[in-house]
Amino acid sequence: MTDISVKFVSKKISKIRWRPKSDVKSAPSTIFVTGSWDDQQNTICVWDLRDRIAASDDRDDEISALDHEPQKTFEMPYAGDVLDLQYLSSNTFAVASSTGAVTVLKHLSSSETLAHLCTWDKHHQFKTGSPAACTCLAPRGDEWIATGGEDGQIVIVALEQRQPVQTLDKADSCTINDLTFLKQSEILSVNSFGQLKTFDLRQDPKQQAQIFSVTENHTPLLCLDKHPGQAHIVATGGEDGMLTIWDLRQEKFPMTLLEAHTGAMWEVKFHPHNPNHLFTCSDDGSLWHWDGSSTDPVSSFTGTKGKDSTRQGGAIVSPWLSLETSRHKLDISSLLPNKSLPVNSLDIDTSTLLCGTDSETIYSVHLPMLD
Amino acid sequence: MAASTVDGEVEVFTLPFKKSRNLKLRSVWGMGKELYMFQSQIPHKEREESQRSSSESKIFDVQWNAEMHDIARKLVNETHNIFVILQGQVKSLSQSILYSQLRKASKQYRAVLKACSMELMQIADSCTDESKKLKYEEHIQEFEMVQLIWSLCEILFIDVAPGGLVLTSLLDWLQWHFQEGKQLATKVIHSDQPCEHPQYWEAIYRLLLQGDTENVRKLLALNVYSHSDSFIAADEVLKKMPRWTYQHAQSVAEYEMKWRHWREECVRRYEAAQFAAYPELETIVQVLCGDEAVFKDLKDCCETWYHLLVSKLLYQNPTCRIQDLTYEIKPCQAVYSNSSPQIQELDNILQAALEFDLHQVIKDSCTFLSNRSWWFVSHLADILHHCGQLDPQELPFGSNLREYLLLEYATSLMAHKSLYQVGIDYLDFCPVFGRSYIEAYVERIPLETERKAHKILHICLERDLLVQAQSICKVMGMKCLKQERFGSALSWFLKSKDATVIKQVTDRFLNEYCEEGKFSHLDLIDHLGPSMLITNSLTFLAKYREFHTFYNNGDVKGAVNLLLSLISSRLAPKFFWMTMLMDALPLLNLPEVVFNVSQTYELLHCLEELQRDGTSNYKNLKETEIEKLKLLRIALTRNLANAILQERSVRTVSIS
Repeated sequence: MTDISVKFVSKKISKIRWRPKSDVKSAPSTIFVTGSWDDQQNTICVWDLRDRIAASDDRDDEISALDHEPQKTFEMPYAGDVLDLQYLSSNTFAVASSTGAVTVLKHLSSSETLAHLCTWDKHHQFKTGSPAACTCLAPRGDEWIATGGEDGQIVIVALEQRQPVQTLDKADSCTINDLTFLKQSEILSVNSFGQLKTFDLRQDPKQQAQIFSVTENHTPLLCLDKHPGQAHIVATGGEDGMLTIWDLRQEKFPMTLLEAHTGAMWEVKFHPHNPNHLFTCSDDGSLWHWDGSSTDPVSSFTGTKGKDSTRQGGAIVSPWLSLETSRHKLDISSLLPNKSLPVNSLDIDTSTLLCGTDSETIYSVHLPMLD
Repeated sequence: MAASTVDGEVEVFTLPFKKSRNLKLRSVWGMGKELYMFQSQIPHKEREESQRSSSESKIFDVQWNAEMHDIARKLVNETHNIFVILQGQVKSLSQSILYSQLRKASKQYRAVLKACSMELMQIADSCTDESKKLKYEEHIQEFEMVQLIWSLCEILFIDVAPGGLVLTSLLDWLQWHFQEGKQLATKVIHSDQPCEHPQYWEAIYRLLLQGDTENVRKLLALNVYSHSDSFIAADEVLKKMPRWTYQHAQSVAEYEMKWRHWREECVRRYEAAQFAAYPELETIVQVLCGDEAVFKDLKDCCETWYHLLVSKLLYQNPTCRIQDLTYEIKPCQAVYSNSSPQIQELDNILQAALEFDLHQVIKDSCTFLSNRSWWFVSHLADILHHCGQLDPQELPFGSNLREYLLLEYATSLMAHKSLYQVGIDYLDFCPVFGRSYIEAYVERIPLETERKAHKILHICLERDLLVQAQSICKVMGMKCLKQERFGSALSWFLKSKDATVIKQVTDRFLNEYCEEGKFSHLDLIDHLGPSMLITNSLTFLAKYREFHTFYNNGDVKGAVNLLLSLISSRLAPKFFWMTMLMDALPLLNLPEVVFNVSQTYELLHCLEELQRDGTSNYKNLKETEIEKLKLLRIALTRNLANAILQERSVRTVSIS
């Protein structure tokens, strides 16, 4: 079964991210970073989870209990709540703050500390001039960052460049809650009016957006993630805890709604290498694992033939798009032992899932099935 | 005003207010331990309002005891889980299973305490800043005292030994909390010549007084004379000492008999002067014999009266019942006369516990330990309450002691910037006042970001606090309105479904349209869906946009009908009427007649009403607009004429 370790960290965690490994061949990274929120003095911390590589092996008793727990290796103060945190490369990551600032930090290779690379202050502002919280950011490669804010703007900046590359100042009438690059010049965002929008950065600013609404009561959409292999498949999570799977190629009825949590869904994530697995966490204190692998019509390649109905134009249909017909096979399991305060963020790398909560804990969950 | 419950510890803060005869200090409660202080004029009879607001008015945010170190936060969060699970079990489990869960929870709480105090020790050890270190050591001392009291209470009230034979647990308690003996023994053993170590015998006495005969024998074996008869004899009696255990199926009477035999043997050997050659050995055997005088001599090895109490019971009355403990307190206390005042407080609490006066234990702990945190008393009282050990009767404030303490603890959490979620969970389990406390607090949590507002909203909805949920939406909406974020404002007001504020937003949209000739928030307005039915102003807005769509798509008939129904419904604010009439102008100027007679009259009515009103909008019209109005009038008249002609011709045809 799964094994779980809990670490109490004395700060409410708003974002948690694995540091990507430096190249494909190297061993999985043991380093992750967290950002806190809602504190007198918020911080960004770097952690090391030393035993994760040996997690499934029989270990010597000599490995101390401390190795099971992540150890804090560095901590730095940060102004405002950390609202988003994303890696640009294996060394650099960007942080979005409720003060409207965006900061890029760098892991120093010589030590375990972080160095400050650049900051855009007052990156997001309301019309009145007061700062607007920067709610989300998305990297494109290691050069560009798109940010969204409560001011409804999408701003695209390039590293080491003061002025924005592009600003969509009327991207949204509401708060933008999450965004991602769909393609090189296409941005996907979700807002507090329950809409999913796509923007083509090459087009005339007035006709950029294509708008999809989930429900008629405008429940805010809070998070999104795109399928790592098939960019037209997108998962979003709503304030009502609903998981929505979108097929952006469909003009009509592009989504499948799945009832999930009883509180707002704060983060949704496809497994980066095994996208038939999906993870969600929620304000109701739960963390779920959605296993679509058993519904996958072509999970084993041996069974597929050229004329198979599950193939469309040579593309393999993802289990996420055939949910309507095979919903009963979707395997959902809850990963945390008991429900408590909100789970704000999660990240998964190979078989180790991390999540950070408002009970000031970091959970690391080992999922042997994903080894 | 809040009066401090801690006697004698009054702190005075001076706020930099100007002194003035007709100004007085006022205050408003903030979150928990927080007051907002400000000056306001003493209202004189018939004074004018305007004089009241002084230009230099300041508001001071006064907070106390709100800060919390990292380890305390860890304690708060880790025990929060245990607490919530336990409350669930209280509701669902039968009495007998519940007791075992309560015992488990008590042990879990203590385990967390222990872990926290160990972590504090680690931090204190590595801390280089002297003043900080001192503070950490203060915290450690507090943690240690809490553990000492808690585990004693657990033995006496929560995990009561069967038959009331309490000594075994008390010995565990000693060994757990007084580790001096063990540490000393380790030091002695690791020295070059153990028996020459200056504290060799002290280590032995200390271990003996805790009943750790195993280690006493080990230490004695290290003595150079360990092969002498006296040492062998001492080893024998130590080895033979009977032990009471639950596991072995022996009755109390059986054990008592064995013990009596053993003690007689000790006395016999002692009187036979078997140990006379070594005075230290004699002391040991005197202890084994339960000799009153020798305990007094060894009082420094016990350190405290309660250690002495347990040690004496071990060798004088090992089968004592839990109820007998009370009688042993006074003589033991008499042995120790002078001790520091802080320890005095701890002594009082432990004494009250041994006298089974739980209310005194809690009362003293409140005044002595809760200065910084109500954690200890509230959690202990909760367990004791569920164990049936606390008087469930109502206190003058309206509920029982458990609730009183939980409310205090929750209040202290609410006062902290980020622990309000935990605080609310505790308030959930306060049956009488919890809900009203949550209602009051939840509206006072500052809403810095939209994300936080969503969280607080969820807290409200989970508890069916609809009024509070509405007020949060309204606060957020008004905030957006002030920042001129009309879209976000609308999204919040739609949640609260409040018609008046929604109208404020839609009026802004319409205004903008009047001024700029286009709408800016089309991504919302065009996607309202059924939400447009929430209020009239939204319905109008959405329908008006629909008119635009008809018009742009060339559906003249649809556009005319919609526009007319919009005008005649009088849903639009007055300032917008002119715009709608102007919208009719191009339609009136179409080659064919699209407004029939009654429809034209309707438009004329509207125009007349506007002019009769003489609304400011109309008066302030620019030249060009007045010109346009004239055009409108002309167009209407021409249309009326045409329509009459057309309609009459239709009638003539039908008659003929």
